[in-house]
Amino acid sequence: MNSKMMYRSLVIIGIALLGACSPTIQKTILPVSKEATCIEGIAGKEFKYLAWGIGSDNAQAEEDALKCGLYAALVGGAAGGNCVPMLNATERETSKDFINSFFSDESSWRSYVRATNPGKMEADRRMKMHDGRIKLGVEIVVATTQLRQMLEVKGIIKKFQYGR
Amino acid sequence: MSVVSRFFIWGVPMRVQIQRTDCSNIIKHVATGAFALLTLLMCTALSAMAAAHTFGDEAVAGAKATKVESGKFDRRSITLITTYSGSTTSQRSLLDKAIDNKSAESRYDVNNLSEKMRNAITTALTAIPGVVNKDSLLIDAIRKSDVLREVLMSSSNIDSLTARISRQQRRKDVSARTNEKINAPTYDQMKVMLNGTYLLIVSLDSTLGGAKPYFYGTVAVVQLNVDTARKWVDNKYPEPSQVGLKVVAREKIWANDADLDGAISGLTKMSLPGSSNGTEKKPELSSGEKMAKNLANKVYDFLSGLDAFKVRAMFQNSDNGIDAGSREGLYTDMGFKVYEQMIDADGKPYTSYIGFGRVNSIGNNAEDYNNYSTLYPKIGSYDQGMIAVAHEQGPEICVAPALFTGSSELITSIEFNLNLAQYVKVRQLFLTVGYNYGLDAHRSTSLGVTKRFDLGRLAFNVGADYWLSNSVGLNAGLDFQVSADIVAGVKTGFRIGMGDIDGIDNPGGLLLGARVGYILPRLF
Repeated sequence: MNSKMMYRSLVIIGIALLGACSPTIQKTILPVSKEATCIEGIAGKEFKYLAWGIGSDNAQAEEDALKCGLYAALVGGAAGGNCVPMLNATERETSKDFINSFFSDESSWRSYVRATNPGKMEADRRMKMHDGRIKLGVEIVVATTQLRQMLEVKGIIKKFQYGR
Repeated sequence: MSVVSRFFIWGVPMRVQIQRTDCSNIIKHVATGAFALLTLLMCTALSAMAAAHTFGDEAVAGAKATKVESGKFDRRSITLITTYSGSTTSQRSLLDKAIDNKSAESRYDVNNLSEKMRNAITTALTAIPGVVNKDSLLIDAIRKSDVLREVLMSSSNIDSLTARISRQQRRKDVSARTNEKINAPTYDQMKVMLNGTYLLIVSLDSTLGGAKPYFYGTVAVVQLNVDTARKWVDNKYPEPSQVGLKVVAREKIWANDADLDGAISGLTKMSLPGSSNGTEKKPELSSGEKMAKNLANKVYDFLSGLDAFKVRAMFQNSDNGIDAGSREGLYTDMGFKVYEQMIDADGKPYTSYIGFGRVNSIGNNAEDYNNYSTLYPKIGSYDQGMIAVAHEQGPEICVAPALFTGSSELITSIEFNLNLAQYVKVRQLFLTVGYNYGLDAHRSTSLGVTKRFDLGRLAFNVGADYWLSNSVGLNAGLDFQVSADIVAGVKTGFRIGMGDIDGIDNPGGLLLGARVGYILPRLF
């Protein structure tokens, strides 16, 4: 085998091995964990969740938790409480593209959700998983009034009609 | 004739010139193989470093990951029960107030009993002399008073849950969708809360007046244990008969009316709010109030020594800041073991030991909860969200043989190193008291001072000492923190004899030696 080719092959293998060693986890559009518990859902105001996020580090896990709570407010799947999701079953099916594009724009979805205690760790809410990822529980609040208004303007849901 | 090869390693141009000889082909193959091996080794090393970074700081720090029991950091709550037989009404009032104030300052959950139940349990305990000194009598009295029902409701948070459900049901819902039922805590959650419930019973056995009055009493700690079949889920709590009681600790305590501030004491760890700057004038306390406060301090000192109630804090930022400080009685160089909560592949939680650190700076969190203390990482590297548990240390006992190079005399020193950091607020400043034993009949005791400078897991130390056989010495060394409690190192120094005393030979000159030290647990 040509020695030059052998050298190049070894260099390529070395670079590939280095790339495989990287612990960084690619960011996903939709939340990774989708695990949330409704703490308090007051119709017409805000929804409060304990949302769990998964990421390669604390910051990524916290971001995933924010997404998770917002996703639960939109689509549902949260345990307990009375946090009724914005979209019904039919709307969930027809709005998949919207949901993907909504979460892909960070400046968009960030304005509807916030952590009650940003950057502060709570006891028993941070764990390292067996694969090295961090699982972080964050108490978050979703601004459901503004979220509903946005969904109505975009035609994703119908406007509320009070009385008949 | 030579052959020149040019190639690139990660963009770096490389040039190899090989002299063509009869063995040129062999050399070429060997060089190629060596290069391949080197590349493989470098990739393996980099992979290992990346894997270590991914799968735990403990590999990087050199500390082995060990599983400790799950539930190590579960919620702890205390229910206070005070019983003061033989005391006057005013004394009881003073003691109750001091203990209640201390509870309000503590970082544990305190389960509040109604006035009716406090009186009932106090009556039950006071009626039986020496009840707190015998486990069976104490447990019987607790059961007969029926205080457990209220303790269980309070510690399992059922009251607030019930109230929350009522509020939700009263709220008007404009949506067509109805409220979903709020889930009660799961069985596992309830078990954690209830098994983390402790009764702290403070009993006053006697009060003596006279010139030096003092309180003398007993403090007992009783743990609740719930480990029965799942009969009590869904908004219920176990019946008192289903709850086990176990006396986990008991101690005699006494307290006089000595002043609380200004004395060098390892017993009083809490600093009063506002006392750190020393500018506020403290109100004058009566003798009884001082005794009561001292008793309350000693009760909580005793409690904080139990494993379940050791100071715990969480790392809140990337600068090794922890959310404990003056409020919890932290002091300079206080030791903390660091853990990380993990989940295994089966989803089961466990705790992994990460390393050990010492308090570097103390935050005044009595005034502002966001004033964090910082830990210096001796072993391991820390991340926000890890947990630090107090690991208080006492004096270090070490064995240090040294060889005097001039006279070839071997002298072994046995030393007690007392860390003065808590008192003088200077990190790693030690007072050394030692005994020196030489094979050539040298015997002497010594007194010295050493300052250590941390360099991660290493520490550089310098010191001076005086041997009572009339010699002085300057020492320097390098120590390695083997574990939280074991230190090993090498040392060098120079001694000057100032004349023999009682014919004891005084070695002088350069010395080279080693030392191994074990740090004892804090006893007082």
